[in-house]
Amino acid sequence: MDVVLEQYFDLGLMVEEFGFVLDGFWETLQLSILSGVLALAWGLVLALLRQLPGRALAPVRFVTIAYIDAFRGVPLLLVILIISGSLPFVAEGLGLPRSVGIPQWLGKPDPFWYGVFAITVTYGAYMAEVYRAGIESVPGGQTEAARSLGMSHGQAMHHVVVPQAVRRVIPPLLNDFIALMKDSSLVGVIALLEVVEAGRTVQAETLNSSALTLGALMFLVVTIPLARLVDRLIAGQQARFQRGGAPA
Amino acid sequence: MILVRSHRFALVALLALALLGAGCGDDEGDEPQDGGQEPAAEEFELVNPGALTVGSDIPFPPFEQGRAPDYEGFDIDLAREIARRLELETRIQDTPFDTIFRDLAQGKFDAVASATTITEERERAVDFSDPYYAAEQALLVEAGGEIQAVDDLAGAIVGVQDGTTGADYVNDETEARAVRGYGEADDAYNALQAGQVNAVIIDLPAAQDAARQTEGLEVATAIETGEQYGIAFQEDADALREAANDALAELKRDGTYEEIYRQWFNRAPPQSILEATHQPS
Repeated sequence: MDVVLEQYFDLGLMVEEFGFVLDGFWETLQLSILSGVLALAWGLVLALLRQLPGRALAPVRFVTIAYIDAFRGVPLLLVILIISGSLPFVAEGLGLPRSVGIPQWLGKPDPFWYGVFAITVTYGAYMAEVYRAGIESVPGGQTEAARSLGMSHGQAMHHVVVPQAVRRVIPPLLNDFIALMKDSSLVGVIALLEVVEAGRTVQAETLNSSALTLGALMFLVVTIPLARLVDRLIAGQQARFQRGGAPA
Repeated sequence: MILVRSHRFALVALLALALLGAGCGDDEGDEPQDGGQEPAAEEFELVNPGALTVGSDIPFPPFEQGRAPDYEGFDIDLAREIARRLELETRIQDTPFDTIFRDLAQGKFDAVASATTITEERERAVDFSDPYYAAEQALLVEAGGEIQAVDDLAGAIVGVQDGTTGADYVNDETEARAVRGYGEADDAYNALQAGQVNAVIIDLPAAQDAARQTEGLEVATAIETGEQYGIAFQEDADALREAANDALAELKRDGTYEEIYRQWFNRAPPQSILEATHQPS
């Protein structure tokens, strides 16, 4: 037991390496927030594409469904490895400039951007399904009423359905964001110095794993309040649907 | 779905089967060697009695490479030979490099033979054998590129393998703008080939092998560091380490060491290694 305490809870080491691990966590936060926002947007686009009515647009729906299936079905780690391994060569083959294949935009290193791309592309698929559940949970009467007032499909979606849908699925979307934040540490495998990689670097140098514990604590500082927020939002929604309802 | 009694039973049976399956996992161990030699199990406390369990980060050609159970390489052949002289079988266990010393110290294997340099820092957690290889680092770059010497690394992005002395070298001795640590040496070579890093600093034989196997990479220069590899043992495994040292000395004396060395490096071993000894701190 002493060994566990010494290996994982060496407070002196945690204090010494705090700055280094915190820098890694800051990288994690930047990666998660940027990817999260992009995935939220991309997921909504995918969900709307999937909902397009009419036989003429069937190919669009088909491709969208295939995309969502593919990226919900493949591990994020594989997507990261394949993107970072292939993008430089694909870009070169397409004649694109080096700054597209090896993006070093805004001073962030290329593993950061590969990570943003991989996470957005994968989590967009998850979020698309969440949005779809939200859209389908809005009573059909809403769409019918909107269309009979003369709105087009697009207008009905934009003004009536989607606002209701999105409000309903904020808790699951937030849950997905928490999952995304934790999964962002997979980008460490392509040598992005995020918090887990920072912890592992300290571990390799000092033969002590306390920096990993420190990284875990940093995660909890963010994810626990987020989880409580999700709980509050769910409770608020439930109150609204019950008799008496919540104050508006 | 109502959990009827038969459903519950099926669920429990499935769970039990899954747990059983998990417990029956097999280590990627080497096949035990032929020969009816008596194991000297009583002398040493071994992880697997009768066998020398060796941890190694595979692949790192030409020191360790291949697929289980047919691993080969300079380290592998040397470890097998030493084990044979100690009348032990050999079990090679593939393990990540950045935790290899910690895992050894925690008792996951008896020894580590993974092109590991003897350093004071590592000696705090493990004990090394006598040196068995005189090592240098190397600067691996894109063929015909701008970087040809260590000084050219100022402002460059350098790839390394996590936990290696090459990583330490880049951090301490160069003006590199960024250091990218990869779990496997291969990943660093791929990143170099893709242009994501400008150079890789890693042990010379590994770099030479990478340059041979990969189009467009070359060794710009060797970097002399005076480092030596040793086989690492747990700190309290004095009996095993000393027996291994004796076996190693015997190997060097009777020409077997030279044979193995020539097989992997195509030249004679340096005199310095044939005579080198090491006292763990």
